This record gives sequence, structure tokens and C-alpha cells, in this order.
Amino acid sequence: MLAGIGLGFRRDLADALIGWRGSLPAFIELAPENWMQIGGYWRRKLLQAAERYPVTAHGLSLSLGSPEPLDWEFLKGVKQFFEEVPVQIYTEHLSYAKCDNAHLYDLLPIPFREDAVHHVADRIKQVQDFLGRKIAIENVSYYTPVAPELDEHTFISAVVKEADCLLLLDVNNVYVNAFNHQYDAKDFISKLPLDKVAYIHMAGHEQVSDDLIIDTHGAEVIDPVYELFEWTAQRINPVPVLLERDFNIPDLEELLPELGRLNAIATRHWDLRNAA
Amino acid sequence: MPLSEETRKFQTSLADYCRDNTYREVPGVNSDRAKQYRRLVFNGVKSALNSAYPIAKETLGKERWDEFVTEFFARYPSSSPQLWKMPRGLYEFAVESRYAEMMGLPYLNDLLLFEWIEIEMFMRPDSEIAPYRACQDVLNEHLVLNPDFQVVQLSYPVFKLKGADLLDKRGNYFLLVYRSASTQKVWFSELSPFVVAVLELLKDDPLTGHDVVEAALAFIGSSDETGAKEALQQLVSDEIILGALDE
Repeated sequence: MLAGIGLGFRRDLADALIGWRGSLPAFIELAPENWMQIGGYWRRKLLQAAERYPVTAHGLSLSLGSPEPLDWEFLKGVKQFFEEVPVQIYTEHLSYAKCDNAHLYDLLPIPFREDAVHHVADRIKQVQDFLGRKIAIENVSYYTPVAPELDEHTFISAVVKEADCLLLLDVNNVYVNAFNHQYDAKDFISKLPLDKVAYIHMAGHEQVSDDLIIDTHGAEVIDPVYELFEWTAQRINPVPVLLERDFNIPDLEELLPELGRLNAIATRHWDLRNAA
Repeated sequence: MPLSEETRKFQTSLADYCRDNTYREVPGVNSDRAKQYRRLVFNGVKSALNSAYPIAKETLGKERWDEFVTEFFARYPSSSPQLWKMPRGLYEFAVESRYAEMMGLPYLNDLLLFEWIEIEMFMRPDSEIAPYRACQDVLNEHLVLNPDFQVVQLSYPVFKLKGADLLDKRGNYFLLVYRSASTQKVWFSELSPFVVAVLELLKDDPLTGHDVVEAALAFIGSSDETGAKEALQQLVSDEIILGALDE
């Protein structure tokens, strides 16, 4: 069973990760959209990396929250990709990235509403049935609610329950949302279905004004987010933890201390002897 | 339970705002915060287009490029879930909306195609290749063609000239775009009639170098056998012909 601390597989880091012989990261995470149905140079790098590390997949464009029907051609491609590059877990965002069949390539917040719960849960069930596996959905960062009728935690919990899916708990997103919407991060986490947490994301962010943080994944994880992770780790079963770094990507060596710090927290609270 | 029309409308309003920068009121939405979505979405798309089309961006200049990209994103729905494929839409948008004519840049479509085709060739899925080995006797061996190639017809030589230098060069230009099997890099080569004939002859079945030379010369109405053999050898050196069929 996959455990330990992983790192996002970015092209900037590909060669360093493929050649790296250290014990961390214990796995890599990739976005299937960036790696499926390609050949040539990056296909070779992908296969080399997949030989070296266990792989998890974190989708960007499935758009579980879209008003329109699921993109079955895309899902077929994802399924085929998972046959070529086995992934241990597939996660996606509880958001929408496409509307009126136009992709936006970013994550928009789903209105926290009862009908949206049923709509999204039904789509997650369709995806799980098609792929023959449970997926984990991520609590996303958002900068404004959209016509909400429910609390965020109620919305997330209801979707997870109705879809019978797993939860990717993005600890940084909780921190960002708690700051931006002025709620208590620990109280929020304690209201989530923690027994369904299958995966954790950690990342850095950027505070752009007195009352707004943007979830950039472009900086180091800050101390309060580490502290929130440690608090969370004491309340959930051991799960894989992923360090996301999507912008301002430094050399691998510069990311190792962050991986090490996450690993230290994880091993303080979890038994990772069977980690991958 | 289907999504209500009201919820659908709210979602569409936010998405449309991200695309066309025209704000629509949605209950509960903080309009200042909503600006972040427009900014993030548009910057992500623009950044991908900047990377895909550096020459077109430079040719148009900042103001016209920004206007072009803004118009594209507002009016042309990007259908691919894969961000790297999105820039193709800019080329399609330019062709459909006759942007080249509007801008007075008749070579714009060719330039966009030229830049896009490099990305597409670099990323395209690997083709099936017949087993092959290094050539030892080009003329007497069955030759295996590199399947990762495409012939592009252009009206302007955007692969060797830029900007105003192109305006009086309208004509028929044939460009071979191919991916090296050893380095995976993409190469461009202006096509001679002989190479066109070789590609046509070898694309379905391996033939011997002799057969290729003979048929290609007949095809183009030439008797320059020495030149043809040298050209064939060059195609091997350039990895357009991968080698000899390993029978």
C-alpha cells in the first residue's frame, strides 16, 4: 500500500527525479492530461520515471462540477493511460474547469448547493463505475463562494457520502480558505469525513493583500500549514502525502528539506514502515 | 436529480466572465474576488499561447498579440482537456475568423501553423515502426521510412523569413516536418520534388534504394541518378530514412 511523502512530477524536475537515488520522494504524482496520448521525448521520460517511482495521478480537466455531461472520450483516454502507466490512486478536484464545452484550464468553485451535491456525486459515481476504482476528490481553494446554500464542509461531506468516494485533503487549501473566508481551519477539518481521507496535498501559497491568499503552489510551505498538517495527521490514518510545486520550481535539492520535514511529521504520528 | 437551471446559470456566468471579462452578477459572489478567476484563467491561457507561438507574438507586437489572444479566448471555445493542445485553437480561430486579412498580415495563418506543427510533431504519439538496422548498402536494402513526419503546404516561406520580408514571397512551399527517432527533436526541411517522391514511395512498404531511385526519378521526370543517390544517402543521414528493414 502506498505511503510516505511524494512530489509532483514536473517537466522541470524530470531528469533530476529520474536520476535521484534518495529515499524521498517515495512516489511521484502526475497530471494525466499532461502525459497521456503523447510520444517522443516526454513519453520516454515518463516511462523512465514510472519505472523508478510508484505513480499517483491528479487530474485537472475531468471537471466533475461541470453542468454538461462528462467527457467520455477523455475518460476513455485516462483509462487507457492507466493501463499503460499503472497509478496507485487517481484524484480530481471538487470544482469545474469546463463550461458550455469550453475548457478554462483552471479550477472554478462549484456553488455549494443541494442540487450541485447530487449532480456532482452522480458524476463521480459514473467515473468510478467506468474506471472500476474509487477516486479521491480534493477540497479546492476558492476566492469567492458562488450562490451558496450550504456550508463548504457540509457540501464536501455530502458529496463524499453520496458518491461513496474518497477525500483528498489539501491542507494548504484549508488554510487558504480559512484565511480568505475567515473561518477556523481545525474546526473545518474536524467536520470533514476524516475516515475517507486517502491522500493529502501540501503546498505553498502567496498572500496578495491583507485579506486574500492565492493558492499558487509557487513557494515553500509555510509553518502554519505544516502545523495544520501535524494536527491533521493525529486525526487520520496514514495516507500518502504529496508536496505540490507547480511554479517557481527550484532544483530538486531545494525541495528535499520540505519533503524531509513532511516525512518527519508523518513518521512522528504514523507507522510508515510499509511505505513504498 | 439534475442540476437546476439556476445553478447552471450561476456556473455559466462565472465561466463566461473568465472568458470574455464581462462581469455578470451572481448572488453571493464578491466581484473583487471574482476578478482573481478572470486573471488566473486568462493568464494561464495566455502563458500557454506565448510559449506556443513566440514568433507570431513577436511579429504582431504586444498590443496586437494581446488583442488577438483576448479575442480568441472570448470567442473560441477550447475543446481539448489537454492544455498543451489548446494553442491549436488559436490557429483554427485565425483561419475561421480571417484574422490574417483583418490584420493585414497575409502570412499569419502559415506562421501559426508552422509554430503549432512543431509542438504537435514533438508530442505526437509514437508510431509503429518496422524493425530496422543501420544501412550498409542503401541501394540494395529495403529502406524503412521514419513514420513520424508530416508534409505541410505553405503559401509563405515563414520557416526562413520574417515579417515584411514575407509579403512579396507568396507561392507554394512544401515543408517536411519530422521527429528524429534518436533524439526526439523536431526538424524542418524544405522539400524537393525528389524527396516528395521518396516519401510517397516508402510510406506504405519498404522498397530497395535502387527501386526508390528509379521510381522517384521517373516520377519527377529526371535522369540525374548520381544526384538522386546522394539525396537518398542524405535522407538516411537526416534520419528521414531510419535504416534497412531487419528481415
